[in-house]
Amino acid sequence: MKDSFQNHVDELFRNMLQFYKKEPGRHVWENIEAELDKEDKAALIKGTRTGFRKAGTVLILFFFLGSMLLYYRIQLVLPGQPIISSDLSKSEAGRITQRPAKAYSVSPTFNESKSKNAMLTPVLQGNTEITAPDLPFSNVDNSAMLFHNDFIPTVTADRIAQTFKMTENSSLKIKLSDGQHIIRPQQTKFMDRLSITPYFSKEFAGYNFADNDMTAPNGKEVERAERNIFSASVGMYINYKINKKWMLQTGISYSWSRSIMDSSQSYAEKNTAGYIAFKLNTASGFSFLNPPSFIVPMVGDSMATAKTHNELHYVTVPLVLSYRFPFRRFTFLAGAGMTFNVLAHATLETDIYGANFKQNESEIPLRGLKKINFGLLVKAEIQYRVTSKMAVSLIPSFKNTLGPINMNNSSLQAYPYNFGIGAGIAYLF
Amino acid sequence: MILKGQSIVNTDLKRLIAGCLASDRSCQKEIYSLYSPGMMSLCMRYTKDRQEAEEVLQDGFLQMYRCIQQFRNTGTFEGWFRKIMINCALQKYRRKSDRFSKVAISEELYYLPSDLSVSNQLQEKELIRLIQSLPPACRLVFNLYVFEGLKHREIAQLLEISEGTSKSNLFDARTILKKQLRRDLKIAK
Repeated sequence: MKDSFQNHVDELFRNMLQFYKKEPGRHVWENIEAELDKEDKAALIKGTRTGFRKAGTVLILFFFLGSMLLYYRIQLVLPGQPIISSDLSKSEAGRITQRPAKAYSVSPTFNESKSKNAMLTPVLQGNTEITAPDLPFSNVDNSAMLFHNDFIPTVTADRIAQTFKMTENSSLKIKLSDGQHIIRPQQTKFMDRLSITPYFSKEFAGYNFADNDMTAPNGKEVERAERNIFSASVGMYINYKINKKWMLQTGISYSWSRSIMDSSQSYAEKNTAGYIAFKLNTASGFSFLNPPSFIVPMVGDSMATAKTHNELHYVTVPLVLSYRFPFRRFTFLAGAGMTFNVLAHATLETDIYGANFKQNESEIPLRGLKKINFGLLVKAEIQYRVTSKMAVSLIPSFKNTLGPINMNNSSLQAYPYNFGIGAGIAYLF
Repeated sequence: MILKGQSIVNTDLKRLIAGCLASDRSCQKEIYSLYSPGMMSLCMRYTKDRQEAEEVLQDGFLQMYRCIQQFRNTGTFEGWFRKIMINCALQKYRRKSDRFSKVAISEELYYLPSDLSVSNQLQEKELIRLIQSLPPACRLVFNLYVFEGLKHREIAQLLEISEGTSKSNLFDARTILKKQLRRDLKIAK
């Protein structure tokens, strides 16, 4: 009884799992390929070294023998006599003889994938012999030939594939007359190369300043008075794997930063509407503060402001070219590129106060900022593969604008930069 | 290109092996496409989860590419490759220190109902999960005995354990599996 149950369990598992198949994750082949590439490279280097050693030995030998031969011939030749005339006179000088090329006839077969490519089917189904006019070379009799001769251009499988306008999902198998095969592997689909990485990044931001208006408070003063208190961005990278080593990354992100500026003085100036208001310069532009109604400012008057908070929000589109190093479950990316930044929101909040009043000024728009600016982005990414489709990412980055974010009417030119450390989840399609 | 799921004729296989010998990446990829689903299933049975199975699969394929020149046409390629894969799984198992941890099984023996139609009620995935839930030593012995058809003497030699341990591990594996099956069937009902 007991045995029968035991056998039953064995049989159940054996029968159910005998033909069970499970697809491994796509990264497995990538890892294998990377490992094989590494081994091939090592073997090549070893082979090259050995080759160099052999070639060196042969060269030395030839040099030695040549020297010996030349020495003895010079010894034998009389003055005025050509050295190698005897050999040339025997051959048919001036006539170039070429040994016949070794030729193979080609019979291509196409294995069509399940979907798409119907274009090739009527032309090249089954074993079709390719005739000479179909191929991008002439002087070939009746059938396509592959020449294995140094003096005649070699027709490669790639070239034949180009001639047949192969599409993404088709694969070409060429059978040579001597039984060899050349196979063009199936190409990777577009979606297989694509992945996305939603992320959140905490940033440590700062400004580099240059004076634009020498009469205004200079950059150093603003730099001392203003500091970033919070900066972060959230977004998504869209990653396109160009090949095993290179990846193109783009996407979109929304970033915001909040700065605080110590108490300072603002000076009355005519604003853009022609009214006199108190102009407050900050690192990221300026604002006009409207005094209480009972104060009528004159140009040049000053007013004290309390601590000022300002906020900048940008929508950013990055474009980065990254180099990939896959290593076991990790993939390291290092890349550089550009960012296209669009100003989304810029406001300021402060208190102005005098001898007998204090007034809060909030949501005051910051002026003098460019709507669009470009930046440099240098980033790295460490991905740890959790499943075949998902990976967690650590994304350190450095951004710096290529030009000032302020317009010409600003007293300062600010070049913001930030170091970010982000975390994200990469999803492979 | 030979597509997945297609049976491979001997000439194609010879060509692919020759390609692998010449380090032709397209041939290596074709062999991978052909054998990876089957070998993945094997690795899933020998390991505790998918990640570990993929690691064994990767090691197995690399090992196969490295020593493909050792394949003599005396048996099937798949059989030869299967042995490599099992060896890789065993190597992984040997690296772990807790391989002979004692299995705690309740004294009560669980018998399956005699009119079992288990195969209709259970999916392959669930069976794989049950095997993966076994302690490593039991899992290996169960796999080697049930799927590879090895005798206890051969298993003992392979795993460097005594025949008695092998028998005991197999008994434990069966007991645990029956217990799990019974529980799963209850849930299914």
